[in-house]
Amino acid sequence: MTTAMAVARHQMRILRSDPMFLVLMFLMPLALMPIMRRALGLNLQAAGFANADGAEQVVPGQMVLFGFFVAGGVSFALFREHGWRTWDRIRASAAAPAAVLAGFSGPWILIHMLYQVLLLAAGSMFFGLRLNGGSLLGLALVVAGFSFCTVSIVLLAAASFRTVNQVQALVNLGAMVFGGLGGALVPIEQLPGWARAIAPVTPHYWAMKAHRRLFLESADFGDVVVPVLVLFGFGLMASAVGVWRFRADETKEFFA
Amino acid sequence: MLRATSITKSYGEVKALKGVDLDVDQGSVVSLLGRNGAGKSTLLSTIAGLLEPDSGTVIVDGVDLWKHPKRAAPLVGIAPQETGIYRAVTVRDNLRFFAELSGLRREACSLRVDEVAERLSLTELLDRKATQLSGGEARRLHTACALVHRPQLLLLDEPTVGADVATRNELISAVRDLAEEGAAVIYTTHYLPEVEALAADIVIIDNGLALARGTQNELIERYRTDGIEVDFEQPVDELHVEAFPVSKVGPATWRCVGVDSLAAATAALELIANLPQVVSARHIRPDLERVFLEVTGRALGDDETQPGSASEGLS
Repeated sequence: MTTAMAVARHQMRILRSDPMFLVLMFLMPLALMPIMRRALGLNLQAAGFANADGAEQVVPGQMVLFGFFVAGGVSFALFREHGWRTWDRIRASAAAPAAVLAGFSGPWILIHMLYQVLLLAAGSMFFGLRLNGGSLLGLALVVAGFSFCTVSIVLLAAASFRTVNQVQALVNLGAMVFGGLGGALVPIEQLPGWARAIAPVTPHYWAMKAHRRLFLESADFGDVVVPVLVLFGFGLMASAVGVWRFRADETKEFFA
Repeated sequence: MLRATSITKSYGEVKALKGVDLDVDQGSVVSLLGRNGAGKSTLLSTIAGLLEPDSGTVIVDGVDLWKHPKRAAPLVGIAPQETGIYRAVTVRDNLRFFAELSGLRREACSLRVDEVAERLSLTELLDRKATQLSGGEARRLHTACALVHRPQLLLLDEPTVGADVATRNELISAVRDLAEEGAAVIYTTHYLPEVEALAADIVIIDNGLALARGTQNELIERYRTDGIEVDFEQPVDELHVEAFPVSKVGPATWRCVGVDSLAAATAALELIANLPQVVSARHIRPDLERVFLEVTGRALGDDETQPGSASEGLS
């Protein structure tokens, strides 16, 4: 616990020293939302949601899409330790690998959750996104589940690959493919049949499914339990495999 | 404090350590002297718990480091060869992190950070970002991070690489103070003036073996390497001198070593003077560099891979 807390506090200090990545990740979806909102509103109306104005799709969709990029920050943080030659110093403390990983992922899960909350708040403020009776608790758990899930998946990638370039390429690919398949770019009804068939293998599908129920159908907590459980299940699996796969003495390459 | 026994480590076909023994007492400084690639850093990594040896044991204060790393690690501090600091945050945050990682709580942590900063002249820089430090300051911070948890065994791998003279002197002074306070220090270097300034026990390591150990005076006494060096007018490719071994040290310069008295040196000089084209000759006084040459068969600055003349372990 001491190790995890020490690493987590230190990660927060490093993040505070240069928050530009997070600021840009916040501004980019905000810039895209007004551009895409009307078209996505028409899509939803065609899908039978007569009162939809597009915010119900574009705000959670962009949030989920860019959320994966934000989660990528945890891999960067881990590889940066190798670039700064500080990794061996952490290792020399004989800290348990699981505690070190918890120290890295903990702050990023919190940041990721905060990121989603801020984007939802901005969506509400600027684009009129409303829960309309949907479960706030359900929304909170979807947000938490998606953060835990995506950060864990990225950490698994960081544990499995040798260079930061490999992991970043994978994060970029994952964000677009998962986002596209999961209905974050366009409503799921617009996707071809084969894409709809494989969409449930992505965490984005379950996050978007829950958001749509909450924002379009005013769902109560019970209606989003399954997506929430799936998201936490994905996260637990990725974490377990990540910890199992992680080798503290493996040489990782940051940017040359 | 440290008893490393029969440490071996190979990287594929390359045998980096071939059965090294190393004991370091509390309150003493041991300087590992060797060329690049001799095995110094590998040895330190095995002692720090970073690199598991293929065989051998590392006992720190009675604790087997590789069997009980959690118990042994807090006793050891390492400043690796390459500077490892968090560039994005302040000097204070760097030190605070390693203090927290060792389990120090808030107040103890702050006190210790201030203490270590003062020791390495970093007090004025505590709130400066590490990116803004000079090379020497960064090197001091790098070393300070290894001290912050008050290790009983401190491993410094070429701590003065890239440092200015002032930093070098400060680090050496800090190392002496730490030893006086009871820490055991292992200090690797291939910079001889540092070894002399540390007045440490010297272990000459080469080709994965610890070949000799002693104080500077003991080693010089043991491996007396008086001799003469002769310059010829023209390059000389081959030279044979009866009764004395000679070696070429330059195109036109040859050295006759193993001459353990001035009289013998004079005799050798006369012998060589009979040869044509000698323009000068000088007496070589024994020093650590010549001890190193004698022990390993290679000069300290010679980084080319050559087989060493010595093949036995520590004597």
